[in-house]
Amino acid sequence: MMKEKLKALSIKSWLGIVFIFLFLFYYPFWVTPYFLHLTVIIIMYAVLSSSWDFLARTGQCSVGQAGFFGIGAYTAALLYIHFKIPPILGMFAGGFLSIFVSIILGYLCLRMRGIYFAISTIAFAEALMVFSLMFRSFTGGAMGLSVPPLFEGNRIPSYFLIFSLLVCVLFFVVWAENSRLHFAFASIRENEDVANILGINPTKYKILAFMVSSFFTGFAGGFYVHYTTFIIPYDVFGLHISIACLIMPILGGLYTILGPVIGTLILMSLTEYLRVTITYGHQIIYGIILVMVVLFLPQGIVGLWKQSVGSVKSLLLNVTSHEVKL
Amino acid sequence: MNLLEFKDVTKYFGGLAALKAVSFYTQPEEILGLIGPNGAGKTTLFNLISGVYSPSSGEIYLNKDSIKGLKPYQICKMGVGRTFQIMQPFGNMTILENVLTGVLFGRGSRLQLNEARKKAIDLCEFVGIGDKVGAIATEVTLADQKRMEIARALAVKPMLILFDEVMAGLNPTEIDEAIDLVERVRKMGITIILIEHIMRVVMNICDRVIVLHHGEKIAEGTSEVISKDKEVINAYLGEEI
Repeated sequence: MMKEKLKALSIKSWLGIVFIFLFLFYYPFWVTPYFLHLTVIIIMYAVLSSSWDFLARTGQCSVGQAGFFGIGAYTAALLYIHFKIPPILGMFAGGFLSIFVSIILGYLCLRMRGIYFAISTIAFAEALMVFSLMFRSFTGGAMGLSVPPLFEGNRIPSYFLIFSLLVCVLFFVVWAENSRLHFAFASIRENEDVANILGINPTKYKILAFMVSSFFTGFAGGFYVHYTTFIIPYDVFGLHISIACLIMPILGGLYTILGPVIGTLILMSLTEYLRVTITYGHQIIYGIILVMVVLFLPQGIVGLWKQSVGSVKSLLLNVTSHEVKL
Repeated sequence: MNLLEFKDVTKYFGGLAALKAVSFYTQPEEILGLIGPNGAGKTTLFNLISGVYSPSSGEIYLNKDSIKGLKPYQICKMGVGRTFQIMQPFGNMTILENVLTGVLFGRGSRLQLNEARKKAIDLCEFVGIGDKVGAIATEVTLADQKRMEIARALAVKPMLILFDEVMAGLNPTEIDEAIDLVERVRKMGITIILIEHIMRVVMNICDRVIVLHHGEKIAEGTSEVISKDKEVINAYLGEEI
């Protein structure tokens, strides 16, 4: 099905795709360090929100993504400080430890549904924050941990690293969207009991989604600590990270391929713009915009786009329409 | 060989026995009717077969294997499909996607998405909604939603299918079509258990009928025998006027 759709793309849209890739490749060489830094952080948040959305496809709303983010960050930092493990291996270690934790947490918490799962994930992240504050000799407590800058402070390779991570996440998303997984996830989200009667093991698929989601979140955490060189528990385990993970996909469009990325791009740019232009009270405007979006754009930006723009563009945004030609 | 066999199955909810020592079996390719007043335990019996509940005591055998304590998805893969008394379509999916989900995850070998889609379209045509496969499942008529549920139950390649009041709320023409559909499902070699309140349907298509009352089986036999049974008349059918 994917192949058919790729064939259906016109030369014009192929040119567009090539152009976008060239642009993304040369982008870091053109912009100022400030914009490059902002871009890296935006892409990192895009990874977080896309991986949150991957789990959300099974109908599970996690408000504890910060837990995995922090696990990844602390794992990468501690491995570097104590064993001089190279940063990239440390990021992988953070990702794999997150998978391991997600399996245990999944078996304990994914039997709960809706709001109860959400609450238990908040508790998970908050517990880790308290833990990292208490074990001062191990985690540095509120003093935090510091590591030398990634790639000797050169932001360009960092850009390509986090960008590849985003491509990997999107690869998983496209795979889930175009395979039998899509039907498993969507039916569990719609009605878990009926999915069960139709031969789908809900726990299995929910844990699978949780594993994928937490791996990328953990990896991004590892990247964050090496990129910013310094973390304190509140920075990585804080509720603001978990909330950001779910607000951005909601703004961009839930269960779509590019929705979370677009949501992140818009929300982060807006935050930064407001922060620079309105010194005091920029968060009030930010809040008002969020309320407006939830009230008037329940389908998100991608949903709005799909309603108004023709098929080629919506195809690029979401390859989900499974209509049949008879 | 009996496809399904209940041996002294009892199910308690708290102190209340929803089913009391019920035993029965199905014969190959038969249509077995299940009737009884509201609260008699008919849907509980379906939920026990499909694994939503586990029996408090007694044994349930499917193809001579005990299915006691198995999960619904495991029992589904052993060949049990069902519809729901209160219809449960996946509301944000099209009819085709609803049926396709069953085809992809039901019994039998794993299919490619394209083959599975063809099979799902065939099933939609079989139940008579071939022209509506692209419609959102909650936006079609009640009769079509019921057809969709039947197609979805058939999608898992069942040997035994459980129909929970598939005729309720249909008009007489639609009921005739549904009766015809149930007969055609039987001709596919599938054993059917049917919960039904409409006696015309029960008399017409059921080979045998089981009557439940207060969780107990009070009668079993052909529809002729059942309709003249004193106890059944008192409990459910009412006196002839």
